[in-house]
Amino acid sequence: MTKRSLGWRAYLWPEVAIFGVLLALLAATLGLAYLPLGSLNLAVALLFAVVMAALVALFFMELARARSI
Amino acid sequence: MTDTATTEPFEEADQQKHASALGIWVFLATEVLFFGALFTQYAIMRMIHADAFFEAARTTRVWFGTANTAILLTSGLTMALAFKGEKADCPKVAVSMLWSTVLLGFLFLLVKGAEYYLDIRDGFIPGSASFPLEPAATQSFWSVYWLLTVIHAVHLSIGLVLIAVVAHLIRKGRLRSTTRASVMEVTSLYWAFVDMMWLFIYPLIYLAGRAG
Repeated sequence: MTKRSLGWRAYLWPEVAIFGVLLALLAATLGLAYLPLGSLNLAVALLFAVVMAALVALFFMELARARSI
Repeated sequence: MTDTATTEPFEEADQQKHASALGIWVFLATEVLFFGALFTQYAIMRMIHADAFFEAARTTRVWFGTANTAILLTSGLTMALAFKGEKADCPKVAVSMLWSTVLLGFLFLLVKGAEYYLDIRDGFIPGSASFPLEPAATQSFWSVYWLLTVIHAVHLSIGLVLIAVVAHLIRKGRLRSTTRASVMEVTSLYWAFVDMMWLFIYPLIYLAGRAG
């Protein structure tokens, strides 16, 4: 394997951006839980959980760039 | 022995990498089934005892749960950066990010431990005579709470040991580059899975019934 230089900007992007989005989604999930949406509260909370899990899978598990086994 | 040598019984580095990737994905599939059964139990109990579930869920400590979610997301970031560092052939970066992940994992367990201490102090132990809530069905929620969070904490603890061992081996230079790539991939996939499970536990346990 050849050694490659790793610039800080290239190193941190896009993971840090995705991390920021995940924290924003967490804050939104918490805030929406206190809105009286009835049975939609659970649906909204789970929808946000699915979106956050998808971001983790795509970018932290690198599925967006992965090849099939 | 070259740096790209494989471990027995593999003859090619790609073959070894694909085998470890397949292995961890099969393992994670069984874990999804395991957690799926627990989430199904939660759904059934919540359907049967909806009001009691909401009342009990409001007594959980939402700020502890939220803080731990933020901590786990941060650890997911450091783990992803460790994997990226390894792929760019920067073992020092990978090792420092791995140890950051371990520290964040311990912080998660510390917060969880404090939360458990307060839960036990306040008597939220299903079946105990001093359980503070009525009706009795509220105990079903707390049973699911203990089951889900303890099982998750066990998975997280296993991940911490795994990451610490990998960080130590990389720092000592005891892993060949091909083996290192496979081990890092398996470790980062496992940790991301632990992250993802918590993302579903958090709204189900801590946010249910908050709107009143």
